[in-house]
Amino acid sequence: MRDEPVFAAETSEPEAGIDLVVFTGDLDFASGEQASAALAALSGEARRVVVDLSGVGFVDSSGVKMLVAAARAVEGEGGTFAVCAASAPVRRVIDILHLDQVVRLVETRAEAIAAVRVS
Amino acid sequence: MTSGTQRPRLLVGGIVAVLALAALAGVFAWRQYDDGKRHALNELDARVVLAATVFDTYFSGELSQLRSIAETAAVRAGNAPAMTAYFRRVQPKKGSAFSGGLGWIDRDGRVRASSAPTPAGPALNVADRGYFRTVLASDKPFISGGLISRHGRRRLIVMAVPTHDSSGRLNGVLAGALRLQQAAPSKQSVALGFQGVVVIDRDGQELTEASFARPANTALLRRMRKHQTEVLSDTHGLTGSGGRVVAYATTPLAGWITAIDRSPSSVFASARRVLALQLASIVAAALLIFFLLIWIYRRANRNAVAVRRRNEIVAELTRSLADAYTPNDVAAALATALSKSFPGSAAVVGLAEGGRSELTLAAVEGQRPSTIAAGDPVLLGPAAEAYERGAKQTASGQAAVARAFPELQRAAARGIAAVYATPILGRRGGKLGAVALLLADPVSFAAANDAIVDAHLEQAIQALGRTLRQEHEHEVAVELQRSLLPAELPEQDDVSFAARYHAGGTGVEVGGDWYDAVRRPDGLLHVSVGDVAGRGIAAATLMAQLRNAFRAYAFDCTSPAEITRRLQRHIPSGGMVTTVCLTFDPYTRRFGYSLAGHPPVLILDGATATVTTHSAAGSPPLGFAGAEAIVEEWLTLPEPATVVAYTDGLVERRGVNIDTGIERIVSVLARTSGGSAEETAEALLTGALAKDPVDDDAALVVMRAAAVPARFDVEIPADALAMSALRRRLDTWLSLRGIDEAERIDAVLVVHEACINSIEHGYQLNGGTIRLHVEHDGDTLGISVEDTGTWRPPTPDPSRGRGTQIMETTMLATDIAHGADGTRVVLRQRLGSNAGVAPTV
Repeated sequence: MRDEPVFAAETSEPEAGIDLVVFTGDLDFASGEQASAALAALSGEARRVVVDLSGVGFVDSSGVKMLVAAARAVEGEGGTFAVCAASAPVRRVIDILHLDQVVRLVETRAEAIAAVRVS
Repeated sequence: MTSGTQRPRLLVGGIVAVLALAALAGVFAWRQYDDGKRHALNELDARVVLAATVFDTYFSGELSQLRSIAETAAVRAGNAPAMTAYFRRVQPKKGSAFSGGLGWIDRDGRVRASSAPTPAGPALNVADRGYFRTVLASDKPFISGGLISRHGRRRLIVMAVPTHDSSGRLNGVLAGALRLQQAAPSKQSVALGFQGVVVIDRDGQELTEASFARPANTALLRRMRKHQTEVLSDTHGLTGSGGRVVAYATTPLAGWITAIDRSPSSVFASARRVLALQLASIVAAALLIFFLLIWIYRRANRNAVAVRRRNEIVAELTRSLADAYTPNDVAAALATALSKSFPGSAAVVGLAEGGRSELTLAAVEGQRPSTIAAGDPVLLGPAAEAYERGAKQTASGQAAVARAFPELQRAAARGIAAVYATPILGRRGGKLGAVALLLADPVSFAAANDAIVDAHLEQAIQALGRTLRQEHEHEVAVELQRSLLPAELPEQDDVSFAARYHAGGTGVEVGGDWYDAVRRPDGLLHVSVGDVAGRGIAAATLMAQLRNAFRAYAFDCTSPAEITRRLQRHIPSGGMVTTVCLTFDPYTRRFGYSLAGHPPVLILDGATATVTTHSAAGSPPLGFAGAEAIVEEWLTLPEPATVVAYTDGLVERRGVNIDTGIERIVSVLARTSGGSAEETAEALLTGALAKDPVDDDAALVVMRAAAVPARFDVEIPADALAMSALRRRLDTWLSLRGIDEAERIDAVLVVHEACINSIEHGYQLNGGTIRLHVEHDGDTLGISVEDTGTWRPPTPDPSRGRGTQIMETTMLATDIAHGADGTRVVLRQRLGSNAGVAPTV
C-alpha cells in the first residue's frame, strides 16, 4: 500500500582507518542478515567501526544480537566499535536488554568517530 | 346502427317526405275548399231563385184572386156600395189576403170602393199612380213598386188588375195593397240562408229598406236588370263596397230582384271552417311526425355518441395497455377507462398478484366519494367482496349497498349509493383480481353495463396476463442478478456496509452492474463497484467474472490500482467496463481508491457534514485504459466518515448532465450525517430515484467507518518480511487510539518479538498464519499472538532469551502457552503509568 522502507547498508570511510556503516530501514529479523553481511565485509585487524543508526526506526532483538556480535568481533580483534544516533525505539531495546554496557552508544556520528579514533 | 353521415340524411329525407305528404293533403284540402265554395255559391243561387219563385207564386195567386174578384157582378156593374160591401166581406179587417186593403178605382182615378173605412170628403184620386196608369194603358195586371200610402203614410205594394163591364169594356182598376212591414231578420230566415237578402222593386227601390232607398251601386243594378239571375263572387256589392258575393234572381211577374249580398267570409264560412280544420289536422299530423322524427334522430344520435365515446375509451384503454409494463400499469389503465365509461364513478381495481389470495388495491380513478380518504381500505371492500365470491355483485341505493357490502356500512362509506363489482377472471378461470365501480348516486345497472364492463375486462385480462408473465420474468432476471451479487458484506472493526441494487427498467435482461466488498484477513477492506456496458447474459457473465476476479485479487493485492489493473485483463476485446476500487484500513484510516471511467467517490465527513468528491485518481474505462494510466490516490478518512461508490445509473438521466445527478446525491448524502450505512443507502437511492425513474441499472455501496476500532484484529502470514508493514499499521492504530509514543514502542516491540518467535520457532521459517489480537481497554492493552505451528524449543541461545526478556520487561503479564495445535502468547501492558523507560529522543 505505501512504499515499504527498504533496508539498506552503506559503508564509507570518513577518515583513514575508520569505517562508517549507515543503516537505513528497520533492523530486524528480516534485514538482520543483510546488516550482518555489511559488517562482516569490513575485514582486517583493529578496525575502527562506527554504525550510524539515525536511519533506523526499529530494531528487534535479532538486530540487537547482530550489533552485539559485530561489536564483539571487532573488539575481539583489538578494534573499536561504536553505535550512534539511535532513535527512541532502538534506544528502548538497548535499554531493556542493558546492552549499553556491551556496546558503546553515543549520540552523534562525530562523537562516535572521535570515540573510535581515541581508543 | 347507421353510420354518422347517413343519419342526418335519413332525418332530412324523413322531413321532406312528411312535408310532401302534408303538401298533398293541403292540395286535396284546397280542392275540397274550392268545391265547398262552389257549393256555397250554388246554394246562394238556389236561395235567390227560390225566393223569386216564392214571390212569383205569391203574386200570381194574389193576381188571380184579384181577377176573380174583378169578374164579380158588383165590379162589372161598377156598383160602388155593392163592391164596398163585397170587398169588406172578402177582405175583413186585418185579413191576410190584401193587408193594405182592396179597392176599385174608376177610369178617372177616383177610388170608388174600398175595404177600408171610407174617409170623409172627396174620393181619393190615384190617377197619378203608375200602377193605375199602366193597368189602364195596358189593360193587363200590374204589380207596383214600393209606395207610400196617401192615407196613413204606410209602405205598400199595390197589385192591380183591369175590370171590365158586362160588355167587356174597361171600366176601372181593381187594386189590392200589400203592406210592407219591416221585420227583423228572423232566426228562421238566417237558418234558411236568407241572411242579407235584399228585395229591389222594378223602380230600383230596396223594399227591404224602410226608406225605399236605392242601391248605391247602379252599375250592379243595371247588370241585374240585364242578366235577370246570376251569382257573382268577389264583386262590388249593392252599397258599392268590394269583395262581396252577390246572388240575385228576378221575379218576372213583379219585376222584383231578390238579391243576397254577403261577405265571402259569411258565404264561405263553412268551407273555410272545413279547410281550416283540415289544414290544422295536416299541420298537427306533420308536426307530430316531425317531432317524432327529431326525437328518434336525437335518441339515435345520443346512442351513437355514447357508443362512439365508449369505443374511444376502449381504444384509449388498448393503447394504454400496450404501454403497460406492470400489472399495476394495467390496473391504472383499466380504472381510468372504467371511470370514464361510467361518468361520476370511482373505479377501483384490486389485484391478487403472485398467486396470493389476498386482494391488494392497485388503482383508484375517477370521482372518489368525498367521504372516503384516498388510502382508505374501505375503497377495496366491494372489489374484495366480488373477488371472494367470484361473482358479480351489484347494489343500488344506500340500504342495498350496505346490505350487499358489509364493509360499506362504515360511516365513511355512506356516501356510496350504487356499487358494481365483478371479479377479473383469467383465461383459465383463475381469479386475477376484481374491479368495483362506486357511485354517489343510485344507478340501476342494466345488462348493457355488463357488456361495457366485460369489453374493458377482456382487454385488461390479456394485458394483465402479459404483464404478470413479464413481471415474473423480470423478477427471475432480477433474482438472477441478485444471485450474482454478494448476499452480505463484511461487518467488522466499526466499519459497516450497505449496498443497493436497483434493477432499472422492467425488461427481462440482466444488467451488468455489480458491487462487492472483501475484508482481508489482515483487516484491509477492498470494495469494488462496477458496470459492464450493455445488458443481457453476456454482460451478466462478464460482471460475475469480474466480481470473482476482484475477490481473488483482493487477497493478493493491497493496492486498489493494482486490483483495477488486473481486472482489465478480463475485459474481452470491444468490451467496456467502468469500475472503482476502494481500499480502506480501518486501523489506520488510510483510504485509497482507483477509478476507471467511473463517477467520483463521495466522502462524507461526519463531524462537519461536508461531502467531498474524489476523482483525481481516474483513468479511462477498463477496455480502454493503459495499465500505467490506472492510478490510485490515498487519503485519511475523517472520523466518522461515510464513503459512497455507485454506478452511473444512480446519477445519469437522459438529457440531464451527470453532474446534476451527482450534485443531487451529494446534497442527499450531506443531509444523512450520522445515519447508519443502511439509512444512508436508502436515502441515496430514494433521493436519486425521487424525481424520475431510472431506466438503467444502478448499484450503490455505502461504507461507514465510524471510529477507530478498539481491537486490532488481523491474520498475517508467518513471514518476517510482512512484519515491517504490520508494525507500522499497529503503531498508527495505537497512535489513533491515543496511546503515547513510549508505550507504542513497547507494544510494537513485543508484538514483533512474539511474531518472530512464531515465525522462527513455531513455523520453523516454513510459513503459516499468525493471528494477532490487540485490544485497547481503558488503561490496559491485551495482546494475543497465536499460531498453529509445532513449537520447537529453542536451542540454548542467549539471543532468543532476549525476546522473552523484552516481553517480560515491558509487559505487566506474559504467558506463553505451547499446545499441540500451536502456541499462544498472551501479553498484558499497562498504559498511562509511564512504567517504561522514557524515550531519549
